[in-house]
Amino acid sequence: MDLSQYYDSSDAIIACSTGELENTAISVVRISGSIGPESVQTVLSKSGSIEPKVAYVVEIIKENEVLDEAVLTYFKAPNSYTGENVYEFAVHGNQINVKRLISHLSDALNLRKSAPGEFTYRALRNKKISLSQVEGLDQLLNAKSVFALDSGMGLLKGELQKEFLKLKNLFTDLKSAVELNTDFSEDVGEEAGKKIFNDKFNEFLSHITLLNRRGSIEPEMLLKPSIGLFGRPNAGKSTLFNKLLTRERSIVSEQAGTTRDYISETLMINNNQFELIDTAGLRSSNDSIEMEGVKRAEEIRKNCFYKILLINSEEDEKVDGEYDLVIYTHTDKNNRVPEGDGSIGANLLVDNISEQIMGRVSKKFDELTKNKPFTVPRHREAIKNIYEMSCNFEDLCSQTSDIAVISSELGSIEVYVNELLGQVSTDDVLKNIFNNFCIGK
Amino acid sequence: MEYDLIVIGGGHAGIEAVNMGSSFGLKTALLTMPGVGIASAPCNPCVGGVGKGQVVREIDALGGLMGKLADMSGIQYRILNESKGFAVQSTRVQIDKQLYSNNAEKLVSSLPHVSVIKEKVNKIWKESELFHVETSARTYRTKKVILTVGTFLNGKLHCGDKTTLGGREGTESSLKMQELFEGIRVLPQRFKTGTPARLDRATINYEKMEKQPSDGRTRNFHYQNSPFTRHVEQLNCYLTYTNEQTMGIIRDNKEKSPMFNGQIQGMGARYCPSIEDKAYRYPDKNIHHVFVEPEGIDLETVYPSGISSSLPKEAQEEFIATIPGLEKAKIIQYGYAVEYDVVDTTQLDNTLMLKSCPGLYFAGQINGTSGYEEAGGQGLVAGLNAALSLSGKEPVVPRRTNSYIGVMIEDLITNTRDEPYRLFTARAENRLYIREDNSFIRMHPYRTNFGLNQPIDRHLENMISQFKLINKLIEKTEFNNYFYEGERFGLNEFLVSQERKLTLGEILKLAWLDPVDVLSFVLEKEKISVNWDVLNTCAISAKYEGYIERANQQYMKMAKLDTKKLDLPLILASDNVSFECKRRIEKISPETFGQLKRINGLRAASLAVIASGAY
Repeated sequence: MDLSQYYDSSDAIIACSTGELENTAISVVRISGSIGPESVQTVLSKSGSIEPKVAYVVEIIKENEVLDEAVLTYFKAPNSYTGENVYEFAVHGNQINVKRLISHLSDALNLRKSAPGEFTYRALRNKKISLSQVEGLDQLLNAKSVFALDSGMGLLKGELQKEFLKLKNLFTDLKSAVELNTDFSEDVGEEAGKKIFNDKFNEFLSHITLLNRRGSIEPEMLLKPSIGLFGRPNAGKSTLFNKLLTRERSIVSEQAGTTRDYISETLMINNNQFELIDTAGLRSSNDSIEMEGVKRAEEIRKNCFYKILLINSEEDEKVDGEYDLVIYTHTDKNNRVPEGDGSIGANLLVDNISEQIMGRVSKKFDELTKNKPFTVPRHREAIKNIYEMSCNFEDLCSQTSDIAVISSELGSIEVYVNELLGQVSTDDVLKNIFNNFCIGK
Repeated sequence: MEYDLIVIGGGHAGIEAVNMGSSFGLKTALLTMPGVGIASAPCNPCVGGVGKGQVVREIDALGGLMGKLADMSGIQYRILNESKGFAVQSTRVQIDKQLYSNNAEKLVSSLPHVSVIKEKVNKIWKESELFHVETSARTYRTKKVILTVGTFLNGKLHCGDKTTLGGREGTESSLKMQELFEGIRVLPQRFKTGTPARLDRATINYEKMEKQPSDGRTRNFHYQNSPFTRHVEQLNCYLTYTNEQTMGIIRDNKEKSPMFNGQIQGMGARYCPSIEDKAYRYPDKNIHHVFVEPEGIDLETVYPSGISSSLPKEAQEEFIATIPGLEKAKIIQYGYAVEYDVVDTTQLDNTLMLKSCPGLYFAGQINGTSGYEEAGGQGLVAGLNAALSLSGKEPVVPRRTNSYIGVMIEDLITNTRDEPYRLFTARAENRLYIREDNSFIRMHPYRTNFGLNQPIDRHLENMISQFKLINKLIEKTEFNNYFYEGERFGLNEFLVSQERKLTLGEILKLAWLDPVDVLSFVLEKEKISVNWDVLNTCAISAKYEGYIERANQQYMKMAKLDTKKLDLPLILASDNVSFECKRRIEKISPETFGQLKRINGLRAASLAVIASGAY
């Protein structure tokens, strides 16, 4: 069932909101549409009216037979999740029971089974939530880490929207300052006008710089973070992999090049889910399968959140490329432990190696997520565009004092600011001028 | 007595309408109140300004009067925004207001087919396709009527706690619109405007003020006038400032201010605040500009711009005396505010005709605009189209993409005003193109559509053909390693450093050059003599070419959406457009998305729904 065929639909819809795969103590069956409480009453044993936002214990009946006992809450339009009338039945969560109830309610009340995401789509359509809130909800429901959960929640609560709104306000101020300098130059005075423009531009630039910094990290890297183990064959990657997972998962052998493709397992560190990846050894080979493995390892390296390079200290190998951590192995056979950046210089026999690594991964993750990076590609793209254009704009302003040209350039930036949010109209700009600046002879 | 056209009100809108009627050979009458001067300047004694200068040049290129009259009585010229690029530069001319009015009266009376009648209008009605205009003396019949009565409609003056009926100081007011003409809707909200006290120029100490002399490099308004020859003696304006003491007095008198004690209900313009507005709205700001402007060569009065006030007389005297240079200034006429009725312009079509009453037009301040220039532009459009309609021709209305007049007309008819309307350059989407310098190019196609072959048409034709010629020269002339002997732009060295030849057009675009200087230098070297305006426009157009093209591309994207026709019944039936928005949309009945977009108070969400067609 595809949501797109229901974009214009106003059918009353029904679905189980708590999942239909497992038996649970309670399941929530939700109905949304223009259907009134008096219609819903026809399938209930309850007499008396149904008031919004009151929980009622009710019996759901079919031809005088009680199908289930449920708790019903009614949310009257527009004060509901979807903006329509919403009825929520908390029913017994046996899936056979849930299916029977949905089938009965659909027939009796002429409801359609909702398409995936249709409740949220209606909330969006009825302006109950913004697009970025939908994006947040999606993230919240599919979060793999506390970070993803928080960032989804942030979106849902409209925190990011607030940041964007601030950007829009600063932009409107800037645009107003340009108009102030154009239409009211004589009223405010040449110097004062220039100062207002510079101040407003700097405020805008510093906010967009801040936002852009938050967008500099690939969100995939944080939403589905991975730890990659790299190194030549037989450097000890699989040994470390097993050690981190504290169980034998990878095939460990004395012969170099045993792990031909990559192997991954889930590793929980501080409530965040990481994918631990054991890659094929990076070395040139004529074996086509092994070559493929090496190629894949390169790809993984690019998107990896935490990169660990293992070097066999018996071999004379230099660190090539950027890694978060370099570990020298086989030091029991060789005392040469070169000092290197990020190297813990340890031999894999060190007892607390797992704790050390996990601590470092955790630290990096916390640092990167501390600034609340953007997790939605759409936001990142728009912010990046605005940032780059703002830098060009700064150059332009240093080269020309032609305010119509400056204003026309601002118009190009506006397209992207509007993409993040709603419109900035001339009236907004003029209103802003009149509210914030003293003008007029 | 029967006329083709009767214009009621002899202000800036009225005389432009009469002039158009005369140009088309209509038997035209101007009915104006006895005792009120023709085209008088009851507020600032100046014509032009940012956005407004452009309108004066548009009026001039369309064959209107304002530019001519301003030049004939211009006593101080300035270019505003001179340092901010050509696009937003505007001319402003201080006028001798007595001279201006006298010249206007002479000019209008001398127009062919025009009678000036000084009688007060009591009633207008329509009977068997003819309008009947009843004055204190008799009843006239006419095919078309244009109402340009300014602030006189139900006008009420305020000075301190004294209120009198009248359109301005020393005159009576006209009747209420309902009494004048039944069935016309006026806005429920009355408008308010104000004017400062007039001071005796002999009592002012100019030593304490900054002098602002007339700028000899500012081009006259009228195209057929030689650019820089002035017609009357030039005078200085002066600049001084308010201070803490000034503003303190005004703040102390707050409860005596009719604007703040509830006596005045009308809505004033935010861009033209009275000094009381400034004092109460910006309690931390005490320094405000006061421009001291002479009202005429022989007039004793000066106009202190920036301190319009309706405070009681004693308070006005007290605060003016605190301003440097005005310590001993004698007040000849006290400041006052006027409240008046305004027509709901959404009832008008784009020729400013009342949709429900063909043949009846409204123009000027009665439409809720402020400014002589805005009034003049409307008067011209109304007069022109009344005339075209009589001769069975298609209407001619400048569009917003190529004129400020067009911007104003569309803004007016698609929106209900909640404050007096003034043009700003910010209102135009296309301001890199809608400039003062190229008004003749922008207006020429419209003027051609008038179908009159008058001297001004031949003058414009001549300018256009020179423009084309010079443009070809700019396109075709190439420079390799050498510009000219004795050139002062550093171009000789620059050209050597270039790997290829540059056209003159490319040279004019160079950021560090003034294109007008460079082009006039080249033409001089080539011994080509050309009209000053043509030279100016060619150089500036070349400079902006690239920017305009890019802006046009952006604009085209928007325009595509803006020109999208709307399915109004569908929108009004849609669940996705809020009730409040529907009500506003229904009232205006926009045809395109662009018009709908400009309706005040529409929610972004509803706009998005309509833009995406998801209604």
